[in-house]
Amino acid sequence: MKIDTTTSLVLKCCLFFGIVLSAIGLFLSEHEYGDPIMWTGLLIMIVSPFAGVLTVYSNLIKEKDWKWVKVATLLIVIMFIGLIFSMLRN
Amino acid sequence: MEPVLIFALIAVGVFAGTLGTLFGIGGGIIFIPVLTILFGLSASEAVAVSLVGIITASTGAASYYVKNDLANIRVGLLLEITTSAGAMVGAVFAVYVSNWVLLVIFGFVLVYSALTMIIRKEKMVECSEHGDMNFSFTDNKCGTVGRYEVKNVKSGLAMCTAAGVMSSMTGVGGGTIKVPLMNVHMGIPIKVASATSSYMIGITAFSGAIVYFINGDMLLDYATAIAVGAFIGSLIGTVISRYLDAGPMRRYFSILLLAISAIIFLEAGGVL
Repeated sequence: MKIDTTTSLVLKCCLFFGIVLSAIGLFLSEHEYGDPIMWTGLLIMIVSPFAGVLTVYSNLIKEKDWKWVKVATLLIVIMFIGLIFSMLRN
Repeated sequence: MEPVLIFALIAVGVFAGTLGTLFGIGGGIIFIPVLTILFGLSASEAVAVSLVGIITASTGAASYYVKNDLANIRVGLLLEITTSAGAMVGAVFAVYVSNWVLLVIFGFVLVYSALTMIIRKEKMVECSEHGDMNFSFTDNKCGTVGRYEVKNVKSGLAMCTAAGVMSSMTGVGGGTIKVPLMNVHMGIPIKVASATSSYMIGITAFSGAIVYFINGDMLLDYATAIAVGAFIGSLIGTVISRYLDAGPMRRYFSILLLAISAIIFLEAGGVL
């Protein structure tokens, strides 16, 4: 499958499951299991852009497009540094 | 949560998500003032909820734009490196510079970008024979395939660092700078620039959102209602984009930039 198609599919799946789960959680928020369902749905939604980057990364490796693999690697490293940096600041 | 409140939050999400998707600006400039002023959330609560809305709208838009050959994933990844690095630098130095000074500078940058986009016509650079930054896109209105070469890559990367610094210091999303930068300075067609910006914004927002989420600072019910609205907004935005030509889109984007700069000047003056 093309890089665009797989990336789009991963983003769509994450978003769809995230939205459905969190909406179910919101609907059941009066019950004790509402919050955990909402929490899981939101987590899936929040990680979807990162899942998209990882999908692009694996596709670039498959395509042996080494110039852009380097770019994606650098971005993933920067994202991890940013994540650690944000956690330390909080 | 009261059903009326849920519907109000969904409506905010739809509005911000539609604009964010259409122009690649994320929507934080709408989410944060509305959530703090109208819904009484604290600044950090509003930022956390806003980040979820931005990610939802961005992911919804990106899934469409990427599949339909509008967003340039490779250029997006490249520019995101310096944007993210700039955001980290900005977060460190934010405490040393007065916020109103930054907001005024940011406001003038947006006015300049808007006027440049109004005055200058869109120019696409013809692909060179051996250029490694040659790309193509499919216009989702007329279905024609356009080719362009990304120019001024190094200076574009440097400017993206500045955009990251500014957005992290002022809290205004980088899309408002990145779209005109890609379009005017780097020769990327406006539709590709806004679609690529939509793709990038979710990646930028991820790092912030996950920290708020893990620390338990996220209002789950507010975030869910905003996300549902932003998702619907992203669908509406992608549909509208199919009916827009590049010319009017640049004009509308310029008007939006002028409106955002007015909000920024009001914020700098302490009115908002």
